Amino acid sequence: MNNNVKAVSVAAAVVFMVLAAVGCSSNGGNSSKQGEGGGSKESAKKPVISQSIYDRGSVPPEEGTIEKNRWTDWINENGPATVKFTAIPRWESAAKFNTLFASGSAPDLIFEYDTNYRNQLYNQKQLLPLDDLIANNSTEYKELLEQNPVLRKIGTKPDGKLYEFGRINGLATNHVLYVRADWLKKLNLDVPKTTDDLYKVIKAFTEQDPDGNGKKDTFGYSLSFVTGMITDSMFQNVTWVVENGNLIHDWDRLKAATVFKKKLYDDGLIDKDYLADKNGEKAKQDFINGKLGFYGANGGGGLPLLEALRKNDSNSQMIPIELPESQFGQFSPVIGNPVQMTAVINASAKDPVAVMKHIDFLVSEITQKTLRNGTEGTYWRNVANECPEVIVDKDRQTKELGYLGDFAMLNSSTTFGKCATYASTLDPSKPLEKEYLDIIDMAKKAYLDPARPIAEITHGEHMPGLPQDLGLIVTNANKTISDTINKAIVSGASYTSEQAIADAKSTWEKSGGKQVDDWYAKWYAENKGKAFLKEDMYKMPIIQ
Amino acid sequence: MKDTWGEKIFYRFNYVLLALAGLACLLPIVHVASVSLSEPHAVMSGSVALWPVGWSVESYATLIEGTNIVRAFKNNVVITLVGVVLSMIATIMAAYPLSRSYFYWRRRFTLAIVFTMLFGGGLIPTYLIIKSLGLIDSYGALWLPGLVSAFNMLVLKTYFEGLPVEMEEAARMDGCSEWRLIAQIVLPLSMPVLAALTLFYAVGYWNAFMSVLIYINSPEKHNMAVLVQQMVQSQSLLQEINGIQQEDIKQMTPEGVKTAGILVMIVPMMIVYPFLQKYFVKGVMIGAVKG
Repeated sequence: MNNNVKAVSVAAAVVFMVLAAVGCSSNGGNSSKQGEGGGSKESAKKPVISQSIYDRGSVPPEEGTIEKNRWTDWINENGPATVKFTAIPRWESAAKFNTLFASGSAPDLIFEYDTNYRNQLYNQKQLLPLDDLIANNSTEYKELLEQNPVLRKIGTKPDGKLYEFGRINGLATNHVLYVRADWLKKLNLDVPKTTDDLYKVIKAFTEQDPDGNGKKDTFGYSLSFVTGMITDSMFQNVTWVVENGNLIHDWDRLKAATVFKKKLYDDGLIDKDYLADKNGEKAKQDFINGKLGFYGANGGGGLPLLEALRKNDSNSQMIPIELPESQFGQFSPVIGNPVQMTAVINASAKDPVAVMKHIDFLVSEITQKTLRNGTEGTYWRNVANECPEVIVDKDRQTKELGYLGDFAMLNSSTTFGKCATYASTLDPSKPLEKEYLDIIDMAKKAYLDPARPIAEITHGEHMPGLPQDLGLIVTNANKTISDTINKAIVSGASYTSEQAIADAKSTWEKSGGKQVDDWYAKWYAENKGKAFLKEDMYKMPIIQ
Repeated sequence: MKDTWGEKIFYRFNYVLLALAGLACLLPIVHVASVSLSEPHAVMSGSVALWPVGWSVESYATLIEGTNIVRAFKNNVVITLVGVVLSMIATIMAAYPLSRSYFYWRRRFTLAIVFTMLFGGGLIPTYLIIKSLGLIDSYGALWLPGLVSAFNMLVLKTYFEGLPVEMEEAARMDGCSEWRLIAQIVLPLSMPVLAALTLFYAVGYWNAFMSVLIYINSPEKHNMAVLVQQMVQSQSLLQEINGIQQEDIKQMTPEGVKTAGILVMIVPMMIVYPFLQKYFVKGVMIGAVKG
């Protein structure tokens, strides 16, 4: 028996040895990895800092990894510091940053688009105030700040100190409402001017066989995803609106939008399954296949849309239109953020001065150009009074420059003027691209006019960050309210819009929504003079 | 014995039901496969159902040339192979002593292990431990914390306990040592349960996502779950309108490439499954009567 006990103990000991061996070998691997960072000779003189970089899994294998490739090498060779890049999975950035912060290994310089997450870091006192650092150690960014005071206005947090670095994007469209212009023409209809007109056009598109195939197989409109959001913009259904100089919680606009949507649904003018089409993919397919008259699209991707539409129907035409006017006025859909904050410095950064020098390097003109188009002479050539001429083929461009976007999060469009635009990359000698250039111009004219401002008080990224407890109230109540509204839209006569609004109101009150309304009202009263609101947005130059 | 009329109806009904359930699982995979083999234009207009439209392997070409799927695949194989071997060794070595009635403190050890099934430390404490062990950015962080699954260990222990004592006694009578007993008597008799557990561990390591995301920093060590998730997520994030950037829209992975990635990730496990599945039923029945 004694022997058996011994043998079993030996077995157990082996398990522990295996554990220990795994631990040791991995440990060794880890330390050797750290040694790789600064291999070059210069790095001895340069300070070492760390920076986050989004990883989208899209770096081609020959280029290396997002942490080590030709552009990280270029930055390390030409910049003032040796930068250790930390890859952050793009769609899980908060989880990754949180664990890095919790373990004290978060990078010195953090690039993150999500305003809410940056606000969270600020609330947790994880960020370094930048005022003195910029005043004493910066040249390039300091100049940018002086030329664009708005960067300071937005980057300043409630304690009055500057915490964020940003860039100037300029005014640009984002959501676009397209209509089938050939259908309008065929049925002798005008572009709808008001929401009532819109209803008539939608009805005609659904019932009068605009594609002429003799079948009633078209829908005029869609309420899924972006198209639904655009519909809310028409009625300024954005929850908090300014009335008589105060920010109030609105229910009238919610009701008007709900009534309109419900009518479309009850009259069979939209796909009954629109709620299942959460990302608008079905609506997009219907539009491309000639089954849908209006479609709201998101940002880029317009050219492939036009291409696909034309391929399915050579007579098809799509044009962007101004949003129809509702009883609350005429508005524009969501537009791009003209001034965007993208970077913060970790409060525990060891060498903030070196980080500042690195920022200066990133916003210098030569770096911005390189991080956009590649190095001069290799990838592009300067042409007098024209945009840089690309001198590498398309494949090489895609492969070697395709992943540069996330390195250029401090690139300002103002640096490039008209060459910053997507339009400047299109070739007017190709008919389809020429047509799309016209579409871009029409969209600009329709949506970037302060006479028809966006419906929200400001771009979503510039809304103030709610305290955590209030944020929770909004999240919880909004879910129930949007379910209630959806229920009203799809339930026919059994659940009226009036009843839904009353129920939504009561949900909001029961969840403690009044606190949220008060908080916003107070914030607006105190900050309307200094916050970055939509009036300020329209002061920015149009770059598109 | 002939089936009664009622039984026949019942069986037919069952077959139909099971066939439907089977199809419900199979069709999405067929659809994904078809999308990955179709032309981009057909994918965009949504005309692909269960058969590829316009046959094209472009998605796979883009996947292999444009992303690090090949390296991620290799990483998956390494993580899974090494992980399964280590886990199986450790599980056997833990289960065997605990199944022996003469093992000192057997009950207490078992209770201590069962305790870990009920309570866990949570993400941050676990992370801090991994970090202080110096395992961050190494696969050790994937293998070590999950080396032995308490549940799997208990399954194996119960199986060992069910083996006939007579065989063990006979072996000892012939002068068999403890090590030889494990290697030549116990393990060969336990093939069904070993195969089942191997599959459990393999699927776990193959699909490891959160642990890789949190512990592994270097992109060159990422596995397919992380890579494919980054591709697929780009679409669903579009729904949160405030978080969406023009840059993100530009860099969205095309639908065909996403589906190709998904397929590359699930197919190896689909191939392994049928080979081990036959052991499954026999192996996982804890305490059931074996015929």
